Amino acid sequence: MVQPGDGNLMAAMATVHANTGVVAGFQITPSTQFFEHICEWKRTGFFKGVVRTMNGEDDAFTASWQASKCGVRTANSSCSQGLLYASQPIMCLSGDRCPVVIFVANRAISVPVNIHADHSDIMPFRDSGGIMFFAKNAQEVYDLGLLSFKIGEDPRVQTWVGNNYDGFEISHTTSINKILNEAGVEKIRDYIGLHYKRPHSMLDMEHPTSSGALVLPNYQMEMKYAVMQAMLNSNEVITEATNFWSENFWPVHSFIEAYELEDAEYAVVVMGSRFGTVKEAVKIARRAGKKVGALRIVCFRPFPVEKVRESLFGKKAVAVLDRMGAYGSPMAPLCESVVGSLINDDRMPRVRGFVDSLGGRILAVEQVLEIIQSLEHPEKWNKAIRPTWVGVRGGDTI
Amino acid sequence: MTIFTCLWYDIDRDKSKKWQSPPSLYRAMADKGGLKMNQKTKAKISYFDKLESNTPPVTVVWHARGNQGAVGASSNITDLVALLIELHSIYDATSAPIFGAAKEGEPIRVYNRIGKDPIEVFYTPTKLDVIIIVDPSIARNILLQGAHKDTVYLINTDKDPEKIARELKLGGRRIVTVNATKIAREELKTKRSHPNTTMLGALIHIFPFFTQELMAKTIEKTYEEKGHAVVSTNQKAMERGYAEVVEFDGRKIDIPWEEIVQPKLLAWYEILPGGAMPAVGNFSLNKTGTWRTERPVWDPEKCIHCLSCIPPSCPDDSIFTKIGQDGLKEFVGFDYDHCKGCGVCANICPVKAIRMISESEAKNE
Amino acid sequence: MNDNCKNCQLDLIGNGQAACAGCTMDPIIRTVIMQAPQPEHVVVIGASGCNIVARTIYPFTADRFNSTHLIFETTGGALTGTQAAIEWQKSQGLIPEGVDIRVIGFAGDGATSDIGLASLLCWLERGDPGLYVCYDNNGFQNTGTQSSGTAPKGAHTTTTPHGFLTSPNAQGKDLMRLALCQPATAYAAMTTISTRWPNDLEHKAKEAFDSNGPAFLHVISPCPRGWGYPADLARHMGDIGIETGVIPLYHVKKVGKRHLWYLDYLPDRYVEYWNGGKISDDIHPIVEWVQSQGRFKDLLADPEKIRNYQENVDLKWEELKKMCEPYGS
Repeated sequence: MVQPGDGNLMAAMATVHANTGVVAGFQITPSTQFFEHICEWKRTGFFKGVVRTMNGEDDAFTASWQASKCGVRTANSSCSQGLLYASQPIMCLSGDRCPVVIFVANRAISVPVNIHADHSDIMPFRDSGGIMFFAKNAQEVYDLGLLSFKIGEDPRVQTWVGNNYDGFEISHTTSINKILNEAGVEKIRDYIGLHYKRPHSMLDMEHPTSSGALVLPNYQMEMKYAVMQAMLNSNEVITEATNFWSENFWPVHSFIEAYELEDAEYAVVVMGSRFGTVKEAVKIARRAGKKVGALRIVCFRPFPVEKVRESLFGKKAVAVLDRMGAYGSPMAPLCESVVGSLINDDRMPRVRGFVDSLGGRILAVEQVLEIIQSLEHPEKWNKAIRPTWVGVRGGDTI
Repeated sequence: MTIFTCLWYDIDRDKSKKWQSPPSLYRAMADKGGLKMNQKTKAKISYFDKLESNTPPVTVVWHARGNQGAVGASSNITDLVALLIELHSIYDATSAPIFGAAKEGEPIRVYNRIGKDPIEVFYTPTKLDVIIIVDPSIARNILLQGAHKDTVYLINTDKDPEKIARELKLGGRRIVTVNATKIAREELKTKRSHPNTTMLGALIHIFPFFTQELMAKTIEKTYEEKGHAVVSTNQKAMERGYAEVVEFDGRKIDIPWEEIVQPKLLAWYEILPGGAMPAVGNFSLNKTGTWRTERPVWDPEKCIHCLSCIPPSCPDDSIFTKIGQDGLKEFVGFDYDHCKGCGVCANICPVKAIRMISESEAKNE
Repeated sequence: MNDNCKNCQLDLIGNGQAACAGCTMDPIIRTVIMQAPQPEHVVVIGASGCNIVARTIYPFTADRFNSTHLIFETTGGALTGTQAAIEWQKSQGLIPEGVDIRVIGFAGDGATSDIGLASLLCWLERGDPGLYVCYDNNGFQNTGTQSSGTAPKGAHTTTTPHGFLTSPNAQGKDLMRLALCQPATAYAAMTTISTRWPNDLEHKAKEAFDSNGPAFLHVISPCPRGWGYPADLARHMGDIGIETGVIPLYHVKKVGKRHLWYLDYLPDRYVEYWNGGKISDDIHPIVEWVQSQGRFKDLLADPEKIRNYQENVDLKWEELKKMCEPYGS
């Protein structure tokens, strides 16, 4: 059924429809509304789970972590400084194989303090062993958010799942979305299971479990290898889950979304809500006769290497737009993963990395057109192997 | 089976591949006929008279217990070599305690690398050229971890070398023994014996380029803040350590050797998610009894079975009790596999039915 | 006597632990767990520290109950998470009726008064039932005796070498007062391991479990290596501490909306003072406590510091007198 709502509301709605057991939340702009909705719906009885207002993200995410170890489905939300404050529990979730679903309304990291969107708060976690989706609109926050519970709790995976959506641009923009009706909620709850069945739960009194033990060097690599293996397995699980959703409800993208990419000579790779801007620019460039396409990475971890190779091999040049700065490194995070996927093959295109839209800075369609224009003259690119910063007064030129 | 043996043994050593010691380093020790050492004469066995460049550094391990001064002794070696470097800059050395939360009384290991070229390798050595055993009561498969055909042993023991070699099944090896515990107790006059400086004296035989003067200077530098008395007694202990050494060349004599049994480690897929374990309390396999230096002994006549010694007094739950005929619990005996010899039970016993005796006394009884 | 040992049916903690010889931390954990209404139905949260390093080294564990170690500073968060999980599973009928699961958090004084203080206070403020036990060994002992919030000023630790105060104006923390500044705290008690009051910890753990709300136990756990006394005097340290007034035995209950303070033992030193007289200085002066431990070697040589330490202890008893008096001692 139709449900007008912004990113935060859809995240909260996904949490409720997934029959989540415990939400121990804390507020931070622009993720605040997620927890406000949960608390209000707890009062009205729409949300049946247990809610605790915590004293900070460190405690909040530890409560979620421990509740998950007790075999309860949990979700949480934070961003920016809060996410960094909760980095200790978050980094432990994958090692402890706890499928906590975390909604992140991405926001810039201090200093300077800035409440607007960029990906610098989630990128430090890109190698923390968690699955990461980047939604392009509020609808995808709901779809992938609901499926995240199934993906994370699957015995083959068992790790935390992050649903990232751009702060304010998605989290506070009300759009018209579809959500599941009564029957739909029943169906999805049958699919993902009414409760999270944790094999070694802390509340299983017949077979008590001792976990979180000190490990000496002889076991560390084996345990971390298991987490890596879980991330590989999650490819399969994500495909199954998104196929189920597309067959039963409405289509949802799982790993990538390509636009006019088949016959394109140039491509622009992007994540999150800026994909719409890039699509507009591609339409204009196509009308002007340029063979250019756009590729959106939906699932950033596990990175869809095969799909990216199929989409980008043979292209002349590719622009990768990162919403995260690169300070002294040749490439920003998304560009690193894209280039990493294309190596060891002579069909690899030339790649030019860009850093744009930090802290809510607007990336206009005209700027994307400029970028597409520059792809045709590689000799004009700046010689230094580093990303080009878009729209900095007195800074790089495209 | 103790849990620390497989700590850093990450190289899978299949049985077929025999360990080869680097030929060049030991050219100096070609087998010159294994003449049986008689204790009195000091016929020269060659060890590491001088180190050669572009050969792997000599690896040394000290086996001791928490706070027996092993960490201090081994870092003395690094200070020693620092002095050598100052004198004629020919050597380099590192000293590394085994990295872990070692508790008091727990077996610990400290590693040295000594070489002519700068030391640039830092992982815990898996092949040991010199094994220094400060406390021979530690389990064998910890002591002999990484031993190979040409390993030299320096053992702190009151037994004669051949007896200890057969006891520990060291196989045909060169052994240097010294009764460091006795020497240290006599010289230092401390309640607990600190044999580390005595062992340093005996070590001079193995590394002759560490002369006694250098060793004395190092000891002075290490203990100068503790006052002149401590320095001089330690120097005296070092000198006696050097003098009262017994050398034994077992290479030509048939002494049994037993391969070290490696506990089986789980493969990654055999590990429960998140390193969870069924809470079955299997830590009792860890025989903490080996940490003891003293043990409690029970006197049935005096005992009134008040059981004030069982937990929460006994920190390690090392007392057996049973339900007697009158339905009350009775004291039965000590669990010497786990008792750490802390002495709380002896101290708290209202009728003094428990007394502490040292481990060596217990061995004779 | 306590039933939690090798020869009883509820042997909840196996032996073979890697704690120092004579450590008093393990007896505390054993005693407290035994006092739970159903000792086999407990969930034990451990903060990083000696209790984890001693009780579990993969693939071995000494525990025979549900226990976990999360991180250093959020024991309070973990307690809330577990309690919320229990509440949810009960509402969904996943926990059978007769099972009464209790949550216990064990943390050292560093994890409680320094890095995890916010976690403790905010857990107390939330008012969920549960028990937080702080085994206080006056320092970060697992990492080799560094100074902590409750370490006495002037004692030797590696970060206050020979009593030299690296943060010169530090005065130390009073954990009980911190815990009691939360109106939601249902029960708080200070106790230790000693020979003359062997069951004090048991009674207080029982009362803590019977209170319907967050309970806090501040248990002084003497540490042979950190304090520098012979390991066999583990329980005598408690006696000396109690007699010299350094470790007052008292508990605080929440009755209605008010916290009532009850003193459990009045040392001879303060008997006269309690009845309106002066503190008798000659009975059990602080020197007895300072002489008994190696960590005070430098403090012993400085009468000024001893006098200051004595004043602090007497000051504490003045506060206790004020708080306990109206409701009887």
